[in-house]
This record gives sequence, C-alpha cells and structure tokens, in this order.
Amino acid sequence: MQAVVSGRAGVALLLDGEQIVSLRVGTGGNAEPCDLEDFPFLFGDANDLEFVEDVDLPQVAERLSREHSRQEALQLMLISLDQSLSMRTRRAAGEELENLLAEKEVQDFIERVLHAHVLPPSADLTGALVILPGNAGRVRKLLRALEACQQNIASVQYAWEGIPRSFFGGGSNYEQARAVAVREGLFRNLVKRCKERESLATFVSASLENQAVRDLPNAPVWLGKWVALLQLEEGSPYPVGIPLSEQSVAEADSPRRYGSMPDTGLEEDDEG
Amino acid sequence: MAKLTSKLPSSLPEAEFARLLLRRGLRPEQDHFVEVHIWGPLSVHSIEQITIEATNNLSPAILEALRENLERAGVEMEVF
Repeated sequence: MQAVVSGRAGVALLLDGEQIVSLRVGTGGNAEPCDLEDFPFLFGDANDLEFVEDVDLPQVAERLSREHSRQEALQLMLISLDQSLSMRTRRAAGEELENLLAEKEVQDFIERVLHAHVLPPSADLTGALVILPGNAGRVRKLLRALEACQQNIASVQYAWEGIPRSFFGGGSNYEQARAVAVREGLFRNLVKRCKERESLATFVSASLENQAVRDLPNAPVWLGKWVALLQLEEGSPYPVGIPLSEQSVAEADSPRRYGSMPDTGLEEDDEG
Repeated sequence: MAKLTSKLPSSLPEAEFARLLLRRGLRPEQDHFVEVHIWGPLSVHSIEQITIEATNNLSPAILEALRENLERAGVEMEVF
C-alpha cells in the first residue's frame, strides 16, 4: 500500500490498487472511501506532504498521528511566543505543548525547525517564559536554550543564505536542500557546534553519512561552502580543520553579503 | 436563485438561508452548494464568519488563538 501523509492537514490518503481511502487524525484509524479528485479538498494548501510506500493502515495511522503532533507542537510554540495573543491563550498553548514535548521525537522536530531561523523581532520570548505555568519545565528549558543560541542561529542562517544558488544545481534544488537540511537537523547541528565552540571540521563528512543529505545534488559542495562561510561569519578564518577540498570550494566564491541583517520574518514553510 | 427558488418560500427565516447554500453530503460529491466566483482580491476582510468542524481535532489553544486573530479582523468563528 502507498500513502500520502500530511501532519499539517491531519489527513492521510491511502492507495491500495484500485481502492483509495482517507484517514483523519483522531478518528481511531477509521478510514473512509474517497477518490483521487478529493485530494485538494483533503490536503488544502498543506506543504508537508510525505509519500510513503509498502505500508499498512496501522503504520499510516501511527505516522499520521506522529506528524500531526509535531505540527501541532510547532503551532503551539509559535502561539506561546506571539505577543499579539492574550496571556490566557499563550499560557494554554504552553500547557498543551508541555504534554506534547514528552515525546522525544516532537521535541527533536521543534528544535530542528527553530534552530534554522532566528526568531523574528515580534517573538516575545521573555513574555513566553513569564507566562508559562510552573510545571511546564520542558517548554521552559527549550525556550531558554533557544534564547541562549539566537546569535549562533543567526550566524548559521546568514552563512546558509550566503551560499550561491548555483551551488545547488538550479531548479527547485535550493528549496529541497533547505527543507532536508532543516528536517535532518543540519542547522541545529551547526548551531550547537558553534555554541559549544566545537570544530566544524567533521560537519560535512558527518552530514554526508545521512542518506537523505547524500542524495541531494552537489551536497558536498554546498555543505563545504556553508561551513566556510560560517567560519568567516564567526570571525575565525579557516583552517579550523576544513579539508583542503572544502577550502578550495570556499575560495571559489566570496561571501555574497555580510555585515547586514536580513529580514528575520519567520516563514510559514520553515520546517523540515 | 435559479437553483434554490423552489426551496426559498417567503416564510423562510433568514437563519435558514445558510443551510440552503451549503448542505453536506455523506461524500464530497454529494455536497450541495452555491459556488461564487469573486472578481478581485480576496482577503480576511472578505469573510464574515468561519465555521470549524469539531471533528477536525484541533487543540483548544490553537482554536483560541485562531479565534483571537479572527476577532481582530472582525471575523466571527463558530465551532460545531
């Protein structure tokens, strides 16, 4: 059986030969018959579609539930940071998020997304911490960790934005590479290395051990460039252990822009 | 009007109009509705009310945040 799963829409479409059924979150795994024509009505503008093969109904139901929890947790986090909302709603979001963060996978997902982009000026991190109920320890810890590494997140983000688009090979490769880099935790990995002042030397090779990253066009080239630009951004000219091949990539193109802060608006599709 | 004239007696209260315009079937192709094409930009200010099915399983906090945002835009939200 094949399936399309969207945590954002809370829906999965399952195809088994001629039979097509849909599955919604919270319906206890009860699938309903549908047609391919229903696709746009079921998924709307959800942009987190996952295509999976060789799965059965319980597996899809479990995957849908997991993806939905991740997306819901991300929404709750953004709500808790949104100073335009009432304290009551933000606090309620923090309480719900606390429960969802008990799942390691959910916490991992949120970290990966929020480490890929600096928080926008409108994000009220201090307010979110104040509003949280006393027993929301997981959310508090996550927010404090996020606050502590905003500068590193900015450096990693700006270095990423400095990679020439041509390095990705054209077409939609850039967007695809960014989505994979967020989803597979490359941004978070780099941020943590910078935060802990760890060497970046093994970042490229470690990243390429991940099949999803390795499958991306020109991955060694743009990964090397990313690290090289980051080292310039961090104010520590290489070599900090970058292999010679990666240094030559770094020298092939000077940084596109540095010293100016780009718009930091958090994009809707900032997710893995 | 052409589609709904027979179902629109003068005695029909205004509160029932919405039901005439949209009736859900068991499956999407069994839905009855009037499709309106809007010429020009469509924004949140074009919408008066949003109805959300409780079966969509949204979290209470997300629903409340949605309600607050819609209220600011002057849009009523109904959950059933």
